Amino acid sequence: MIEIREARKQYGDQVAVQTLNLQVNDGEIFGFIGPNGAGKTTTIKMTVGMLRPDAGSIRVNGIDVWQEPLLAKQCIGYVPDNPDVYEKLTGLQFIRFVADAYRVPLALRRQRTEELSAAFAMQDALGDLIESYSHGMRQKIVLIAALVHAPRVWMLDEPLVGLDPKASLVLKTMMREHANQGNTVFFSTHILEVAERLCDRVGIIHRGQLVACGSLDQLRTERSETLESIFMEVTEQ
Amino acid sequence: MITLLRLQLVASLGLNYLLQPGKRGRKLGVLLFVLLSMAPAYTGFVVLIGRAYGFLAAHNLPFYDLVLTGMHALAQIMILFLGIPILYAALFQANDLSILLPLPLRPAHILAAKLGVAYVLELIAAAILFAPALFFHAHYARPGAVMLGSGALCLLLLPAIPLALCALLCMAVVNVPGIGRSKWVWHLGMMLGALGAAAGMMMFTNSGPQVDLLDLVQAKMQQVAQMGRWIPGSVFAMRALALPGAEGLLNLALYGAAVVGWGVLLLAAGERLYIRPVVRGSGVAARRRRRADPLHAGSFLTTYVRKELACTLKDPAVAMNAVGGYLSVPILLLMYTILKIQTKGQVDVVGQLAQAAHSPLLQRALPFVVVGIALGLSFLGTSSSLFAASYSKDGRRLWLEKTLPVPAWTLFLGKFLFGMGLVTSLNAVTVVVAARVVPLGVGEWLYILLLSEVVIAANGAIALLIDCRRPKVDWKDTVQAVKQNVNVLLAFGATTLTLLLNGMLLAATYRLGLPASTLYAQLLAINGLLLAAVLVAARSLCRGLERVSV
Repeated sequence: MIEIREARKQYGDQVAVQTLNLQVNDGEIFGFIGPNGAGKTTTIKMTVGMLRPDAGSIRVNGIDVWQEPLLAKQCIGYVPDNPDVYEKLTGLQFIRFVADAYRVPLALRRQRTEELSAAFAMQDALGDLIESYSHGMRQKIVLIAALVHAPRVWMLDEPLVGLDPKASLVLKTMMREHANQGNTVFFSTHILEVAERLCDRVGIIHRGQLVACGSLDQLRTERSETLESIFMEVTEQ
Repeated sequence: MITLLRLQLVASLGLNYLLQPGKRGRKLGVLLFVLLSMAPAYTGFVVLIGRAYGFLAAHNLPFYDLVLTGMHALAQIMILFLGIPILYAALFQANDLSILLPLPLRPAHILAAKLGVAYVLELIAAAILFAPALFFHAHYARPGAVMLGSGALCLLLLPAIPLALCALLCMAVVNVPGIGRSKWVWHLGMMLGALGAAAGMMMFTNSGPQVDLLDLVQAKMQQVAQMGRWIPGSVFAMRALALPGAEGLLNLALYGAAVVGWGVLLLAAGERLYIRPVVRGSGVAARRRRRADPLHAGSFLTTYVRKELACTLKDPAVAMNAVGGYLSVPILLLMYTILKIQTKGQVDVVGQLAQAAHSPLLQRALPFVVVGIALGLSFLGTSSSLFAASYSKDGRRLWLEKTLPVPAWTLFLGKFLFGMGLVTSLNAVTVVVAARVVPLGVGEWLYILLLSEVVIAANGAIALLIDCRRPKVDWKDTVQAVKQNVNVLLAFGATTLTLLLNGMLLAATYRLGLPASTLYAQLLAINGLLLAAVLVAARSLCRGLERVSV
């Protein structure tokens, strides 16, 4: 579960996120959408402990991210919007590096690495240097590393960008299974069709404010028929 | 083609800055500063050329042509030296082929535009070297308008052949399977090549018989011209500069033909060796090398140190800047060896040092020599970007460190331990080498190693802390992270301050006339305390990484 209370972030004069209140429950896939520069990535960065909010609190599975950062991070799997990773490491070295940080036992890390690399068709590339990977392969290695410690809360910032259709389908299936097991998936996307089909609830952020939030049925009842028309409606105001 | 060349020139030389009113003044100011700071040395060079001509005129020596052809040869040799790094950067590091290849441009045009930029740069360098000789030649030799026109044409064509050779060499090496694209091969190759060529040139120019001063200019210029003639096709330019009348013009035409020939060969080879491998994607294939790497479990600190090792040593730009001062040790040894061979043993710095070490004066000042060597070694160990750009070199990838459930102190410790491991190994090797040069006792050398390590550790921790609090995360190339980083300068300032304090302490001890053992213990204790204080402070201050925005 993720609880964001009165969170606010400002870069100089520019308010990136203004007084955000949001709760994402266990067993839920939450889609976070909004125009470019609306505050999606800032919200995600504050939640994973990368960016300290100017005000408010953020709790992940009941742990305050900024009071107990190490405990909170232990239950998060984070995929950034840009898969910038150490190019001079091999894929396997990178996974090992992350697994050591989360203290993943050997048996589990082997099992998870095998499962995830098979799912994303990366087994043959794990021994290669990351500098030789394509954008999609880098995205896959970041996904594998983020999920290697079997985190309960997935924080994915535009995770489908660069993935091939098969990997994209695999990830979406995994997200659904993960939520069905009572865990939390929070992800941002620009692909409204994916959000519409995959999410239990959707939040639309615009100029740092959550302008719409709820299940698709709720939003349809309150506003328009499709997510696209709802998005256009709330972001044009 | 012309548009492409203009675009490449604007992009490579940053000419757009000159069009922006806000930045124009600053850029022109920097340019003016650079020109002014180089002006005295260049004026000296021009005066030297003028003096050489004046000397020949004063002694009625008819060797004007030798000076001119010698300078032409020298300019070509310089382009051979400078051309390889410039062309390697333009052809293989620009990363703009992905933009250019999809455009409706001929491969030869792309290559020609890239080479054109290098040509312009090299032409400026060539003019700086050759134009003064041409000017004084016109003044003293009065060669006539045709010869001067030939000279100007030779200047304009001067970079062509050496650049073609450099480009062909670059393309040939890059296509060597396995190693051609290794940055390490290029960095080491260029460094060793430059050192070897410099040593070879020195030995060649000193190999001739001893001559009188009056014959010296002739002898040296003949040797330089001889080297210039080794560049295929350049012999025609030299003849065009030296021979009068129709014979000179014929050689000028032959030189032009040689330039065209090299150009055609280069464009043909370039399409095959430069464009075609990119289109085939062989670069990516070459980068994919399978490594057997079992998925062990271990402590994060060990994994982190291993990651630092890979990210530092596999990137030549980071590695070369990280080892910093230690690079000077083999270069100094090489220079010493060359100097000793050249002077047939007359100049033997090491031998003189060994003699001095046994002198009664030095025996009295031994403790100060010991501490001085230790502080010198500390300077070698800390005058680098190893600690001061340790976080910066990770750049935007610091998102990972910031989101992992690992305390900031563990990350700091990992970077510190890696840095110390690398420096200790290099420091130990340097001490072993130095021990063979300076005849001190084992105890003294052990103390030197210990004190230098403690001072390096204290300064390294300070540098690391500076970089942890304010890393440079926005860069496109690791060179920017390690070279254009103000943290390196700040850390250098801190190191200088620490060494200055040690020096002041040394001077105070000398005045008080304290025994050597007290001096040794005092310096070790003070630097040890400094190290402990920095590490204690770092434990809490390194949490500042939290505030760094990635």
